[in-house]
Amino acid sequence: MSVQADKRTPDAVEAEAQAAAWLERRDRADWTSELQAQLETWLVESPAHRLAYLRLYAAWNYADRLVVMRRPRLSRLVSSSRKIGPATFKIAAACTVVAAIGVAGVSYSKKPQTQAFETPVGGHETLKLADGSRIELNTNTKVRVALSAGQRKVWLDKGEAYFEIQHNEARPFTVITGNHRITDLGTKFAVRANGDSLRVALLEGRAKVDTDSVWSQPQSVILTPGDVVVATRSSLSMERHPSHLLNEELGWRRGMLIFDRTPLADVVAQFNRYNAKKLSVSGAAAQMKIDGTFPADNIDDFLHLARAVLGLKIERQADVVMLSRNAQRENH
Amino acid sequence: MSEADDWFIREVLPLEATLIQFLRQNWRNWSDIADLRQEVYMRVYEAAQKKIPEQTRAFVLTTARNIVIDRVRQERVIPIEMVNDLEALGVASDQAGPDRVLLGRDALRRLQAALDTLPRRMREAVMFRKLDGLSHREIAVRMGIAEFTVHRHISEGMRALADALFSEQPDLRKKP
Repeated sequence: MSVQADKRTPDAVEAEAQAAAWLERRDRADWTSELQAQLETWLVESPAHRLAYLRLYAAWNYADRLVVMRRPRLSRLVSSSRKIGPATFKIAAACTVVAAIGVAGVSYSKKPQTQAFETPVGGHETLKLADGSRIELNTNTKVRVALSAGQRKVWLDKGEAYFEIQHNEARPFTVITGNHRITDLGTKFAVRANGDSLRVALLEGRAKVDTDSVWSQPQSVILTPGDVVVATRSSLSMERHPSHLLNEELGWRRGMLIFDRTPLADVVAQFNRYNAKKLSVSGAAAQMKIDGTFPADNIDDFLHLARAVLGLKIERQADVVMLSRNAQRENH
Repeated sequence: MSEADDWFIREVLPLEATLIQFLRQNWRNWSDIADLRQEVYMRVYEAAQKKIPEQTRAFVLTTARNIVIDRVRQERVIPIEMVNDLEALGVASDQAGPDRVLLGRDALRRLQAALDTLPRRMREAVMFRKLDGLSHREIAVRMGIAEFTVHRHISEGMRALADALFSEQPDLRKKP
């Protein structure tokens, strides 16, 4: 590839200007599928377009995360239930203004306030919102809540939460995680964020899940009770589960893990979500199927059963407990 | 997003400051830097679409070196000492350099520095968008400016943030 012959390659500054125009256009409220199609056409026209876009996209998203980090942790839940009322909002607003001035000296007065809530590993907390909605946070979970007159927004930054929403047509309730949006249509549902993927299980009412991605067509699906949607960065898939399975999944609300022919590898992963002491399973033991109900925070009970009933070998190492089949039973 | 896209964002962009520094040391016409950078990115990205390179730093810098050598040769007047320097450049080792600029506290410092480089009104618009999640229309009302001015602040702000975050060269895109 010679420089002179390569006139097809757009000028770098020009490519970046176009990329910025696209990204800014997409940042506005009225993005449409027609625009999305045009953007995708532009992105495949030249790698220079795509790379300029990726670069700005990464910076713009990065700024998002960093500014969020800048906010002081406005509240950390210690009690099992807390009302979010006007008084706490004032405190939150004051903190946010300080943070904002620290960066740019911009004054903020009547802006929507955001509160952040976080549970540690093993934690389980309930938020009662002023509108009567409830959010239960499972272990190692972080949400941000922004309530304003016209809308209610919750960002699930990590972990899992169960929502019981007081439906209000004039004040939509939206749960946002990554590039996915769940809009309540009068609902009880559970959401788990796992890296880039998202799992939504609907128990009652109706909800809508939208996935908005530059890398694929925006997708949208409406859930009815029993529906489970798994959304990745670029796809949505839906399955139906019988209600008793969904209720088992929500065992965490009662502090229980419920397993029904669950592979030991998954069982271990579940326990690890709730406990600082981690379990690890090796070899063929990973495929063993487990039934039963266990307190999520009691590893010792589970390990006792694993040794006594399943005949597994338990090795306690510095920071991990290894589970394996006894050597003579292992089939290599 | 493809695997190559992920790789580009995760591994190549954090090397940008190192890459720019390399190009500036080895290419005397600094107004070409943005185009050279684009050419490096296009070549490494093309390769990554086939197979993700294992040693990103060495791969990016070697590619940059080859591109500079090609260009020197095309210019016909070849400064011999420069080519020698280039051949001697130690870019093969995947040493742990100060590349991972986008991690941890350093990232925060960088973002603050990046925001500080923006003109005041642009910075306000970016912060209303990012800190408060206001829409462009709401920002226009709040700041008492036209909506198209907000659009311009945001798109310029995106570019300035990217330059400040990745390349530490706020004026890179301004050609003389």
